[in-house]
Amino acid sequence: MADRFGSRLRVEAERWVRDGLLTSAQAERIVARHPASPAWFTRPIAIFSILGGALIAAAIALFVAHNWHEIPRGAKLGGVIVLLLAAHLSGLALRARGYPKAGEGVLVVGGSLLMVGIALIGQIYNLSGRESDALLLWWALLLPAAYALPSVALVVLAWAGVAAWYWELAFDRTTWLGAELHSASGFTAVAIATGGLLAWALGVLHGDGGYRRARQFLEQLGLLALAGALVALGFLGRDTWWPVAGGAPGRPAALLALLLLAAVAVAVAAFRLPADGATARTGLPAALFLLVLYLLAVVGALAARAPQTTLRALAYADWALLFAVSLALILYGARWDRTSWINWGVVFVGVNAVARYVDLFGTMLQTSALFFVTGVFVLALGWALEKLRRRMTAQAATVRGSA
Amino acid sequence: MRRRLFVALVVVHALVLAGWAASLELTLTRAQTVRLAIVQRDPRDLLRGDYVWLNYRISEVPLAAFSGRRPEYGDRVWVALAPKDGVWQVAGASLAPLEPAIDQRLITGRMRGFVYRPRAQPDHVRVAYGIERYYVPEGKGTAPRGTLEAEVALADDGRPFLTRIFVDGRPYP
Repeated sequence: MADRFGSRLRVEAERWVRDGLLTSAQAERIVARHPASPAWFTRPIAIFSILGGALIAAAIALFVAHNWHEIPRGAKLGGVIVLLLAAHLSGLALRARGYPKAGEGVLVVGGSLLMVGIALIGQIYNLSGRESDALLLWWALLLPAAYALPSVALVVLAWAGVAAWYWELAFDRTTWLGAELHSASGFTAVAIATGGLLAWALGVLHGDGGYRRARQFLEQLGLLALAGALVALGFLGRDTWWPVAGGAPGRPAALLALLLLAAVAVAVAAFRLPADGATARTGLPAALFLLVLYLLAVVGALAARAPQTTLRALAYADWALLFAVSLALILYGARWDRTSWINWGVVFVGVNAVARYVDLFGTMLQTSALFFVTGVFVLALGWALEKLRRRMTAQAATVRGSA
Repeated sequence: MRRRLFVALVVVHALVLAGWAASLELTLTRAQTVRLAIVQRDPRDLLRGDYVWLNYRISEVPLAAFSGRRPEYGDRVWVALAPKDGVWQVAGASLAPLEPAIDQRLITGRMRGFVYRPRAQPDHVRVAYGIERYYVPEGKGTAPRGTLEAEVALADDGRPFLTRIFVDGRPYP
């Protein structure tokens, strides 16, 4: 990012000199404050450090998984605990000596070794309990330590643990959430979408300061979960995709509580969105609230065993919502300089189109008509945005001229 | 300050692992062991390695053994075990804590569905006790043919711990 800013600054500085806003000397001094070449290495160092840490952690995990019966269990567990402490202390020492990124990589080894230790106890005592319980213990211990330091790599690792735990919880019917979701086909997709909204809101809460990378991770994770679930819900009411579960579905109290939590999280996150006009700032949260209402409607319809026509109507609403959310991501991503939102928005439009092609909303002709209407809409939107951009540029030029 | 807090929390990580292992050791030393007959076995866990998948004879509990209402998926089940022919078998079951007879032992598990047989109503329920995986060194996941038995330590509250498995009376692996 720093490198991109440096490169852009060079281009802009040349223009400012041409426009007479700056002298060449001033431009040179400004550009010199942001040297581009050292920043080029920033990203690879961070990526290599974290990747290296993750590979070492995986190597230790496999070493433990080999299961050394010859080594006494106390020695095995003691070894992992010593390694865990050594990794964290080495990470701290590297950070203190001016190698923060390498330090983050070693801290990732320490955080992963906690999971290895939990797995080792499971192996030693032949505990075949739920995976979700082990993941819960892991992230519940790791998350406070990650924020206490703080270490962004550990924060990301711990939130990845939360995501894995939530996934296990949703798909394992022996858990409190899984048992409830199992009672009706479609509840699981709603739970994943709700988890996506929560992750996105948590990401936004991390802001653009020191936790920027954590924000990016959580936002993207959330968007991915949200879009995946919405694509699945687009098939609602299709017998082949949504086999009807036996028995009447129970009242999904936990799912409703999660939806309420997601609505609160989106409302709180709205205050942490980039500074902008009131209308622009409320637009995205409003779209997400609409999504929460839609998910509530899906839960209600599934719990009440609504007829297939109702479910198909909800599926059509899902198509429109996924499309609207994708467009909102592209527009707001461009407005607030969040490239990943734009990328995901484009991907989701493509995935939605492919899903609708597979779904074949009627005959091929009807699908063709749907694509044509959507295409005309997107073209018109692009044309309107271009017009708006030109008008704003002209206004800015007029203001500059009068000044 | 933050650095000290982080180090303290990392020490908590180490203490949780050590404390958990110590509590399991303590439970194991106080537990009574029983032998259970195994009827089938079998792969690999990403973090814990290879294991033998165990299905016990007591994993199928007759519906008739239950007093009270019919069990449902996920219900906690208390099963009384009594010795017969060198291994411990189901003597009774309940959806509430049981008081076992003097020669019986208590084991707890979770109902995991009904056992369906062709052209018949289910008359047994499947119970998982949390001792269905026995972790073994890499490459030892398939036990040799023979009579399989498991040595299980039972805590006072019925919580089971799988300690060893035997093939034809000899410990495996």
